[in-house]
Amino acid sequence: MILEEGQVLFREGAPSEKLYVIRDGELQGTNSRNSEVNTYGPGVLIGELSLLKKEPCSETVTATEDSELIEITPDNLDETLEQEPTWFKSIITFLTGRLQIAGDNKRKSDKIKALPSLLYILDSLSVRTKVNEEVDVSLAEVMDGVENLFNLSKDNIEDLLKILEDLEILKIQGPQIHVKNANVVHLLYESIRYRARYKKMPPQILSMTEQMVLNAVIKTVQQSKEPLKNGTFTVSTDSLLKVGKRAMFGATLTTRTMLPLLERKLLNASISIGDGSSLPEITTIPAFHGDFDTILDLMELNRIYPLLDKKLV
Amino acid sequence: MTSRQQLIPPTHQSVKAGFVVYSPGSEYRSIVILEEGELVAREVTPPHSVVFTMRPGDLVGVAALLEREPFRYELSASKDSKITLVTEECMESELKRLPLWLLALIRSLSAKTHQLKRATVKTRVQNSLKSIAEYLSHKPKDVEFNLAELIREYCFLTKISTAAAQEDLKSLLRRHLIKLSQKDGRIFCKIVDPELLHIFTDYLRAQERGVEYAPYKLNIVQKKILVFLSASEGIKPKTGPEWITFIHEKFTDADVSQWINLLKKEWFVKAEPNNPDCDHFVVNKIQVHYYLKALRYETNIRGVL
Repeated sequence: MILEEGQVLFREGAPSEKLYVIRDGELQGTNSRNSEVNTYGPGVLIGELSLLKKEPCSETVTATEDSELIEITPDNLDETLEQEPTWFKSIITFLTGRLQIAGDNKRKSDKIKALPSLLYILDSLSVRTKVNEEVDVSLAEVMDGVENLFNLSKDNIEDLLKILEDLEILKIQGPQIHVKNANVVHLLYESIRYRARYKKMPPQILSMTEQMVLNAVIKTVQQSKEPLKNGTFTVSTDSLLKVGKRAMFGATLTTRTMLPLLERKLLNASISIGDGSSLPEITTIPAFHGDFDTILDLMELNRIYPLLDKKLV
Repeated sequence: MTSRQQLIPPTHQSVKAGFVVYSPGSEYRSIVILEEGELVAREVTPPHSVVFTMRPGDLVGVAALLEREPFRYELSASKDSKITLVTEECMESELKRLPLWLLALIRSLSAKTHQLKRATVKTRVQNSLKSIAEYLSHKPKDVEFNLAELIREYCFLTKISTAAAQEDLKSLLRRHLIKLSQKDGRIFCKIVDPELLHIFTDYLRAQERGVEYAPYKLNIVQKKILVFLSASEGIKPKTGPEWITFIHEKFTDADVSQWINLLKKEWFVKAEPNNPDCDHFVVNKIQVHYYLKALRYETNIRGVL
């Protein structure tokens, strides 16, 4: 077939099941996902997966000069393959499947690798405009920032934002992104960075026991009528033990189970518990105190963190 | 089809459970197609874990045969099986029979898979200078950052090599967009002005798109208006026609088309952005300040110091 300069071979997203081999001339492919322009010259094939898997066109291809193309239809393919041994068809199927898997893996890998960049931009824009934990940032600024920093296409950034929306970290509201808790975005970014750098679990990620203890603490604070003092709560050990019995699914609250949280200053005992070599009975400690928001943010991070990998892969 | 070359047929074999169909040390390459039974691919090193199991219809060795990629696992029959072996000679004879477009299709499928696999391990960033400028534009000004830490964080984000990041930092240093200092044998980096780095990324974006960066295509009249607006204080909101008259009084060369131009540049915004009926405009100080800064530091941004 002959294409004149400026003539469109096919448009992005349009259904197609043909393969084109360029015999002469030049064509250019563009898409809405990024600003890349692909140039195709003689000998190049366009539309392999359209022919083999009936995939819609991935870009708009236009002739930039008068061009001559060979058109291969599914009938041409079937006629040719009928003359080949059956094992040959298996090889074509294998190569097609492998290309599709490689494409899927690339898309997944791009998203996984781009997540820190998105969190970095969100974190920094949130800090700039933050008045409390909730903050609105410009969607366009986030998009431009991630594109500049990581060169991720807009549709991939949108997919990533959707994942964060599903995890209830943020909500896209027209031209704005409403970040529900800027502290959690920061904690998430730092946790991922820590894991990448030290190849081990970030310190912000708590064990199941630690999470159960903090859950009991949160419930005790919520049930208590004591107001927070500058964000700091105080819970009596008696109340904590009562709530703990119900909230910890059979696990017992002891000074030993509290120790990791005390060592990390997430909780503070109202009396000295020594150096940890011989711990006092929990009932001898009158109360515990700590920063309520820090604990809530940490628990939110621990809710999100294990879900993130599942969402991305 | 008498013109077609003759195909060297593949080999069909029946193998007992435990039979090693392929081991990585073998000189012979072939595609193994499982017709009946079950094959397993195992690691060659202890504990010889099973990597995958093949069911009837599955095949392995395509990459090894067509692309000379090593097949790293030992393939053995876990049940009595029937297999078809497509040897190199057999495949060559088949490829010679194919029409050219089909041969090109096979090569293209293979090449595109390789391209995607290579791209997966490489950085996506193409303009690393724009990328690092964006990264640094989010850091606060006048804070001394440990340079090694900055580079580490940037490389973690972008998967760019340290050497490439260092080269780009030199370029930013030459433009006086960052400052370096040394203390106790360590190098520290200070961001001169994050907004300037932001302007720089916008400038690089425009260059990439092959368009002139908007602040650098202002004419003389527009530049004069810009300076006037940046210095103006307390001008009350005006309607479009009022602004046209106001600007025309100050700059006789400015007309209606100039006003449309200035609106496009977002130097003016609606006085009440959420009110669709509002017809009054005020000076958009943020945008005016942005244009002015871009012009003031043009030599830094263009890198012609």
